[in-house]
Amino acid sequence: MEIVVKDGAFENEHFTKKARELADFVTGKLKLSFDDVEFRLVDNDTLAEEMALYGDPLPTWYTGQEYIRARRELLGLHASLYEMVGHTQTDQITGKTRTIVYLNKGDTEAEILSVISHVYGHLHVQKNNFVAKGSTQNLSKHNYYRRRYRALEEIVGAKEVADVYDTGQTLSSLIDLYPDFRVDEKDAYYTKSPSVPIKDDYNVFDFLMTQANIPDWQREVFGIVRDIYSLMKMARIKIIHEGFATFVEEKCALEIGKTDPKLGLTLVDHLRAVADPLNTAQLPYALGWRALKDIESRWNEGKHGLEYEMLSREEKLTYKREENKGIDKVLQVIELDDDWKFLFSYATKDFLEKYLQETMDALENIYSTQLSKEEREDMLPDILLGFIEDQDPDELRFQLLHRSESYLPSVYIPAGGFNYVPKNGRFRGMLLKEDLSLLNRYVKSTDEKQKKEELEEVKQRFAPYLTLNNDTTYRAMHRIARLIKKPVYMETIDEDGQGLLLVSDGKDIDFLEPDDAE
Amino acid sequence: MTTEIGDAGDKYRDKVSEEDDLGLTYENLIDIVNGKPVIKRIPIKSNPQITYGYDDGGEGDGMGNNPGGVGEPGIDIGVKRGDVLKVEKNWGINFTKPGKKDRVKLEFMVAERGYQENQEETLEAMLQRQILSGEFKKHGFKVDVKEEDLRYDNVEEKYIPDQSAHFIIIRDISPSMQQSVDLAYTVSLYIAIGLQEMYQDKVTMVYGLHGVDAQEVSQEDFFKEDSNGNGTMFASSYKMVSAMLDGTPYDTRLLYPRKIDHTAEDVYVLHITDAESNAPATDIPEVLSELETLLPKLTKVMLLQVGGNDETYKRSLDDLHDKRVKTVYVENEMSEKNVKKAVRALFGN
Repeated sequence: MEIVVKDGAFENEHFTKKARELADFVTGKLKLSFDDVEFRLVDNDTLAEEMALYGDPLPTWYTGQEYIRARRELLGLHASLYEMVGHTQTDQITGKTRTIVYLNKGDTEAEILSVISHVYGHLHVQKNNFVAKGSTQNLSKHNYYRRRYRALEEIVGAKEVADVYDTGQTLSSLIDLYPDFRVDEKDAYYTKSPSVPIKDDYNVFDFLMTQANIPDWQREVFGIVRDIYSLMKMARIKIIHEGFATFVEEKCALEIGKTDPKLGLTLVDHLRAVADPLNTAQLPYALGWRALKDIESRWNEGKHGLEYEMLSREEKLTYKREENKGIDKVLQVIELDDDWKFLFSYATKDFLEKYLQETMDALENIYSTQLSKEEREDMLPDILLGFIEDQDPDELRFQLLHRSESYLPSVYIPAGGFNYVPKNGRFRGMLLKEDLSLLNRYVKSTDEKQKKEELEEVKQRFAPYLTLNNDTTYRAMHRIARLIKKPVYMETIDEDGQGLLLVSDGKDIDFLEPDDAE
Repeated sequence: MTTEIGDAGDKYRDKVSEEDDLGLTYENLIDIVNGKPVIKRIPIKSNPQITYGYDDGGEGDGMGNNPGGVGEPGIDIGVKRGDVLKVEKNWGINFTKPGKKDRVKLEFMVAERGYQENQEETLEAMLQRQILSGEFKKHGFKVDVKEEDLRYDNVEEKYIPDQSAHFIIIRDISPSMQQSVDLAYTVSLYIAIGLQEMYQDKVTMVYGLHGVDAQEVSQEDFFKEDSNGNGTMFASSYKMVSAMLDGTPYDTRLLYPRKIDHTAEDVYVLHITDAESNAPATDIPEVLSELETLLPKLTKVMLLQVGGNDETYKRSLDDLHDKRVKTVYVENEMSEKNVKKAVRALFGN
């Protein structure tokens, strides 16, 4: 593993030495693993450009917009971006992979050190997590895409290519993000019929590419966009990604503090600012970090398993069984979980209460003299406030996932859905259905009749988070309808949990009763 | 710009002026030009995608993505900012701008890199002219700027208002006002947006609720608060306003009571009520005597009476015959006609 910090063309010896020391610590004691890293100290302009090219490497208007916005924000000090982990690069001769990380030149030493340790956490997730593994991007591939895009612009015309790109961006919300996620019961839950497609197809983007009657060059642009935007899968591990990076950052800060207490304290200060529980934007950092710490201490002290769960509340407090498996458990979680599994398996009710208490303490530290207890509670992030009232951990987990945008809509074409005719007349069109099978997790009874009732109840409870009845969806449907040149139906639920069938003819939206409505 | 991004920035600029089905929002960023802060609005376009969430009242991003700017002075509810132009055009209302004497001159740089770039371009043009005409060969380098060299000096002059304003909205929350909230919100938001246009975002919103007693509240509370059954008295709200201007203590739910400097800022007051006071015989004279000291300090006082059978309060304000006092009565029904009538009467010329 090679680590180097570069300033322009030259190596920065001071930071290279420090970065290698930190790498020795994290790979040795914390058992992290990652490939070669090249840190580059760059100015705001370059940072803004890399930021824009990370999300979308094509020379499109969208990249230009992101670049101009990022540059203005950085130069006008509206935002401070400390690091930007780029895509990996594979050396053709040695076959070694290397990640380039951009650091801000103007930062202080303490900032740069805390960022370097934070980045090591990210790199470990990048290499080991199963979602991240499946969505890696490669710089050389991006260079090729850029060249092709420019060539197409010259041959076909910039405006035409940009239009196809726009449609591609709309379709990018139809890439199958959860191939591993679906439970087996979905076959029983949804009906089948022998036609196109033969079985339920979750990869709507690819399905449309095979069915839509479009010229080859458009197909190529769509292919590029599809490949680039498969990066959206990473949204599924946002909490884990940021939480683990913060976790490693803290460990490094404490390690540095052993030899240089002053620097160590500064690093911890940075950490507190990054993982601020009162700031909703920093939610993934704070929540992920505290949850991983909770796992570490529980598995160190043996506070898990059936034996522990059977104890009463008071007994739980004093229970202790030396195990020291904390770090191993954390690494296992990082490797195998996405945010959904992570929150629902490890953010226990006890943990959520503890997290709430910590947030309250943070508030008390700031406002203890000015505000009464009730007024402080009013200032809590509103999702936590809901938790105080109804004490329902499921709903809180649901909201946390949504607030950190870790869960994106899942839509599929049911069997025979390409030639769909609704019962109450209308034209033949394509049917899209929202995948609601995840709600089956909340159905606990085994009796068939009760199951149905419970499912309805759960639907109504979570409907505000799961409905697709909004203006952006309508406009996206118009685009798809124009692409395949026939009406698009969308079966979803409204905000009260009632079934809803939307239909778009490419211009206007209409609301119908779904087929199975009584 | 480097080669990898290429002309992406130009493509974006073209895209912004195009008409299409993309979503358009704005981001306000403060830039510093010649040592002075200038607000730059960056237009952000986004392609529609299938997303979670539902539309609240048909506008906005839906709850899934936008939890609502709680506590911020931004206005997201009811009407869009862009609608102001439409309103000005179609309804024949003119959001009058403050006189020129109140405004400061601000030089606006069109060039990407600001003042410096203008200078560089000018010097380059000068040098080119000197070389072509042979002057350079004769005399060597000499600073001699002529008018034609200044063609790259893209300095645009723009006036921005120097004054800022406070907009105080006070809403009656007696039980009889329950059905008229929609109308009250929409009218107050139109006026707020009009003021934002006039003062170029230098408007601070102040929210108050009153039953028998008046209280300052946050934006969130103002829009959420249900009615209470305490009854209604008007004088309390005007007392609260004068307390804000004088810096004396008053009832507030915010962290600190505010002090408004009426000599440096314009102050607008909008009172929304159904004018059914509990004790009109004592209450209205009290309001009038309060207004006697208050009016000279205010820019405008607006009364929006929504429904209600009793117009004594409105008439007694009309009898003041003061240009700064505007009143209007509208039916208790949410319709474009009513909103139009109210905004025109309160905020038109």
